[in-house]
Amino acid sequence: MKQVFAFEVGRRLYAVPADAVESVSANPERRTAVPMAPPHILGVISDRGRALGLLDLALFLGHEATPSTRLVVLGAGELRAGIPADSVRGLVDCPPLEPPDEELAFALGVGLLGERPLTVLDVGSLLSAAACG
Amino acid sequence: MASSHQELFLRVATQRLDRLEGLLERLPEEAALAELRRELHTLKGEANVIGRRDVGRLVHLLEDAFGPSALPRDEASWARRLDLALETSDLLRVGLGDPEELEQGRGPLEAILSELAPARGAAGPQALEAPLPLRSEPAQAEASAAASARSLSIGELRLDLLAEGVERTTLARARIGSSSRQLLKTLTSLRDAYDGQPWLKELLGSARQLSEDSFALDQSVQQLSEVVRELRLSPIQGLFLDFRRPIRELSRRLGKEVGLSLEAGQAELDHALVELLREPLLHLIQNALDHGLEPGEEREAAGKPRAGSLALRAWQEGTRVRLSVGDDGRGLDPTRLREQARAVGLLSAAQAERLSDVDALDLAFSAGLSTAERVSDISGRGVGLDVVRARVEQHRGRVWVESELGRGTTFHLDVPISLLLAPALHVEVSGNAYALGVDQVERVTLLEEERIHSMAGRPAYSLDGETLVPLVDLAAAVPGAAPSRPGSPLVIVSSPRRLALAVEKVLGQIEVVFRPLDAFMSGIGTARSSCVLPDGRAALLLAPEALSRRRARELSEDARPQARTILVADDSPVTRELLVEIVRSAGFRVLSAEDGQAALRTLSTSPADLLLTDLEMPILDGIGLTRAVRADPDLHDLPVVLITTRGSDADRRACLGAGADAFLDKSRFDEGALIELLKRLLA
Repeated sequence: MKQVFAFEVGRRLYAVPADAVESVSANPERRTAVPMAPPHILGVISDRGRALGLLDLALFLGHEATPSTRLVVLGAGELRAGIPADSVRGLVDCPPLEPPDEELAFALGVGLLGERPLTVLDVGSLLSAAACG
Repeated sequence: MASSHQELFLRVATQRLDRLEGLLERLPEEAALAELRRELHTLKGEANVIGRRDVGRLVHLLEDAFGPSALPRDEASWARRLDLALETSDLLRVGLGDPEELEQGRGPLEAILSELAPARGAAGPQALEAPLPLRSEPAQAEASAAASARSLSIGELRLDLLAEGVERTTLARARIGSSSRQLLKTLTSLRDAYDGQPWLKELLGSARQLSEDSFALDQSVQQLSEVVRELRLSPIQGLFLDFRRPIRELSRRLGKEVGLSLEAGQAELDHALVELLREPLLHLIQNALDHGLEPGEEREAAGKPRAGSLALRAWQEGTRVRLSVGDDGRGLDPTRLREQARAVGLLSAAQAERLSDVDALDLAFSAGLSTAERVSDISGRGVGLDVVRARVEQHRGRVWVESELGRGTTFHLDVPISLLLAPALHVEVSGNAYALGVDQVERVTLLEEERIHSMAGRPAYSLDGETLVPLVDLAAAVPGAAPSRPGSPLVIVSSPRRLALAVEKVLGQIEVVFRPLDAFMSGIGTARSSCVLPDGRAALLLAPEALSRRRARELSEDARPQARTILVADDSPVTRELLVEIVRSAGFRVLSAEDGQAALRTLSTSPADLLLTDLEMPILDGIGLTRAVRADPDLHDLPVVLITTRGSDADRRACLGAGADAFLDKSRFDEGALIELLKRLLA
């Protein structure tokens, strides 16, 4: 993995393999809450005539959520979801990665981007775990 | 013979076999028999023309087997004859494309068939072309067969493209309509300031023209979409007929005798839906054959006919189609389902205890349980009832089960006829947009506080004096929404079960295209499909039934079970069921009876601690029952509570005069008060 796509959610830095990023846009103001959905599912928005689910990454990973300005749409196989992000760093060179702690499920590894810790996520297992509620 | 002719023959002959199998179902009905003969006669002619003498010969024998002099005389021989005909038809289906296969299989069939029909001497094939009544002109038949084959060759893909085009046009015309209305409104408001200005007049003229044109467009698009909708319809009978081979094969493999009945009448469905339902239905059928129906010996031991019965039905209800797969097998056991749900951790012991029988049956659709059943190589292929439900709900359908222990199980499906543009009711809760299929909405009213009750520990709403339906507040399912208050719009949902859904706003009817949610969203929450509103927002199609189910499971207060037994007597199954639910959910054991005499019979065999009875019942009414109880030395101190609809003073006097301990008025019925009363009388 030479380059990864980095973004910030809940004041933490995450990255995903570049090919898992479908698009980046402004975080939509209006969305539709899904009845009986777990709290980490923020709702759906319309994306080219279809509903796209929005995942609150901070909440799902057990952190505090912060206001988001951008929307990063991730895809892995059949699974697609939008993740609201505080800010987007874009493509960065992937730092050397350590295997993640056991607590960090869905992580491919952790490293340092400059001075800040960076978690590289496994999009497929993240989305399938989030989809199961 | 050119191969295109062969192909045409193949297609037409297959259609004839489809029709043939449909006609066989209707035998020995006279009209069906006549048509069957015509169909066979024509097929034979076609086969001979195309050079498939082998097919012609077999069809000819089959035709003879249904000739006037060869007809079976009793039911059993009819059944054998039909089986034989189906087997022949099966062989022909394979043999049409594969003459070798036909050659191998036809021997035994031909032998049996030729024994059935009295010999026609040495007449030979020529003499068999005897004139038959009505539209059996070979040329004409061929022409119409060719025509129907041509109409099929439009192809599903093109039909889908056509449908999509119409869909887009319809959405665009809705937008044009609303913009032109807006334009006209704005221009009209300018009239005061710029009255008499020629440019304004011109603009107004154009805007009016635009709005008239958009209206005309509206009408023609409507017509067009009707035509497309109809073009896409395909008869359900065809789907049912396709199931016969797997049913026959599977029942043979399982060693079970199965009487099959197929009833689809003229019911039709969008062809895409027919395909989408094929697998779920097949699964339900396999389930019924494998798990539902008992082996012959077990059935006989239970006093049932040795052969089980499997019934597939379909009928149209307005813009929806109902389908059912029913067996007369062992039925689902709600108690066992409760236990299993508890064992796999789906429910706590208290939740399982409180769950009504109807809701317990519904557990069969949960992921943990549908596969927990004995896994066999037939229906245990990993496709559970949970998958069936997900598939059906994805397409705006619903599926539920009815079952009576020892008597059988029926799975019901309710689906829209068409997947195209559907009218929907647009509702909102704190800025979130939702839709309800108009075909599932009975009416919209306002939430009235005094109609809110409680039924088995859950909110319920009284539609009129008699009917209580579950009450679901959409706001309770939407994060951050304030609970609905009296005066909020209340949508009465009609299918599959009536319920009342409180929402914040009803914004009116819209035409939308529902699409199933994607892989990420399809397992989350209770929505299964979404649509785009004219303003571009996504709206989720609500599944009120699923919402209500989820709420029911969430309500899990610990109810301390009290081992006291209450006998409920009421002739109305609805009221009886309701009372049983209420009493059971309060932790009592419950017995029930459908009239006074049945109640006395029950009391003579099963001890009860209290009798809760309706006043008006056939055979022996509540007063008579109370008197009988008081007169019985074994029962005379049994507490009796009488319930009446009228609540007049005369009733009250009669009840108390007969010796009842308490008296309840149905029109002012309150669940809490009833439980209080029961507890007080039993203390």
